[in-house]
Amino acid sequence: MGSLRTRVSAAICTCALLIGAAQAETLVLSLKFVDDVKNKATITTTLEVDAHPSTPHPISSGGNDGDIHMAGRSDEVQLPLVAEIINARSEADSLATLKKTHQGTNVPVTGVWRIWFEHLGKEDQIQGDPVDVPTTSNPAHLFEIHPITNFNNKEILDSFKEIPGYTAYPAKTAFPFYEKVPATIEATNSSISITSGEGKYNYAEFVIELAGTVATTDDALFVLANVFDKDNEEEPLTSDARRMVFIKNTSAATQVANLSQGDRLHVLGIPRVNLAEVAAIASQSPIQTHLPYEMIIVAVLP
Amino acid sequence: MNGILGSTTLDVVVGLVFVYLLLAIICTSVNEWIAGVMKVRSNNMASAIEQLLDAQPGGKDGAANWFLQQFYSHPLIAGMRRQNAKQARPSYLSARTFATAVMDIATPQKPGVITFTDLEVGIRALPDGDVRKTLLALILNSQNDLAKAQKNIEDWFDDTMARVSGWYKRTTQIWTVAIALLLTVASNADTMRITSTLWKNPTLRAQVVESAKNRTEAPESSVSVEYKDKNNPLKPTAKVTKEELGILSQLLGWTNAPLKPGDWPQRILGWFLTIVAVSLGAPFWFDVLNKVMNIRSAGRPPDEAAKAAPATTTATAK
Repeated sequence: MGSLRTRVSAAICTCALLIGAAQAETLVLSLKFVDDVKNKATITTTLEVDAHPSTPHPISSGGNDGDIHMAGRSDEVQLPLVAEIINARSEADSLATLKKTHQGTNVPVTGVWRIWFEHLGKEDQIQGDPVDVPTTSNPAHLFEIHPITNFNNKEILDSFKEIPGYTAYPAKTAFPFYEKVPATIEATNSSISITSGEGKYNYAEFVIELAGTVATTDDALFVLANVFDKDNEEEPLTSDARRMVFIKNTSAATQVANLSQGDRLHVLGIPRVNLAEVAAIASQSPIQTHLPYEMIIVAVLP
Repeated sequence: MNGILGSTTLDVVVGLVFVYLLLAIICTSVNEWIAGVMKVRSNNMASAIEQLLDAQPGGKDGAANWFLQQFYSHPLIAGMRRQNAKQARPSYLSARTFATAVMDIATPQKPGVITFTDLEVGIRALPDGDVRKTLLALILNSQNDLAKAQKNIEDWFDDTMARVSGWYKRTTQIWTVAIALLLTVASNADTMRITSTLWKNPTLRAQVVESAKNRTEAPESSVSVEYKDKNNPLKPTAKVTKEELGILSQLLGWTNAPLKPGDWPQRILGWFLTIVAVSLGAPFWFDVLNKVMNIRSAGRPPDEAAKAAPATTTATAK
């Protein structure tokens, strides 16, 4: 009987491991890349655009967020990547430029770098490995330039605004998930690998309360903040203050620049892996932990 | 529990592996700190670049290492120096950046886009030297194709860097053993004593196993991130929970009790085992810990194993 129990236990564990293995992926980043971007909001590159849809996503909720995707390759990133313009319907010039591109067209792009384990593939993604030419506008990717701030030398910071008609995920749904995404972080002399399961809840609506003063860098304003649901501003949803990233010269950045510790703001944001925290944790690696994340603030909501 | 699975023996093994892991992490952190202070990476890189580009005169005054000087002052390379560190050399360099800078220096007569002929003419115009000979050999093997010529130069760089990587690994390994030796003796991390303590003290053993479980399971991670200054969101730091440090303090350390002469061979054997174990590195012990924890979970009665299954999934998800 004991033997049967052991076998059943082993079978349960094996199944659990196989399920876990099927739903997670490893991203290997060069240490230099991590050091370069961990305290930056954006990345600038020449994007070789390989595939894109003809129209932006519809707008309602979930993945119907009004963005337009383009899959491409970049010498600076050297990973499968997708770049996205938010509020794409209001960016007619950029849409027109995108429509004129064909496979292999080079377009200068600046935008918010974003790592999120949302579109997992079957293989680990290793920075510097040859990147296959994508055949769809949304291939398996963990790296995004999202949202784009400058497309083909035209600034599109005005796209950082509320998405009319879109219902974002409520904070009480999104943040408990963000807080508990498991990850394994492991460092070597030249790289950091992050293994994690599928991420979700791209756009979340939440209230932040500044926990410190705003720090300004070349391309962003960073601030630590506690997070609340708009329907319950009494109980914070995060175990500690989380880092918020405002893109310089956006409307949201202008507003937060004038706030002080304790002030609150109702915002729309997108999660990304916090590479500054990943780098800090890497000093203690290998470690299984919660995936460090921060929020890119897209808009201040009424 | 009965049998090997879930037994005291397995818990002692978990405890020992966990202590090795923590010591290996400390060892790695110290090693990284030393590498940073001594600029080991950038010095290794500088040696490799020197090996590649030295002994090539040029310029009006015919300086012996003209090509090397030009390389370091090239905007692509100079731009990689850290701010306020004029003498600092890059720690990392891609093959493409190296090849682009070298080709640009070799073709001063043709700023901007060049052809294969421009490159060949430029290299032939260099005074006799090692770099001229090497570059000519590399590009003449490329069938007049500029892309192939660049690829050959990149491969030349990559081959040298592979050797540099070997030097770096050997240097790191020597430092790792040295640090492991100091750490082991300073903290009296005697494998024999640790094993004996874990065997005899069930309370401590249970505490160590629980901490080991936390380290391999995400829900109760043993490393947290903190921003010591809430006004500086650019400098997060990681901290190991006090629980882990507390465990180490209970298992390691010197006591006032004098050692009998006959105890020394066992003590030295214990240290030796710890040094060898710590030198294997944190990733090795982390893998071992995960495997042992999985065996331990598999050996539990079904009700207990079922409770642990979701956590085990996250612990080994890849």
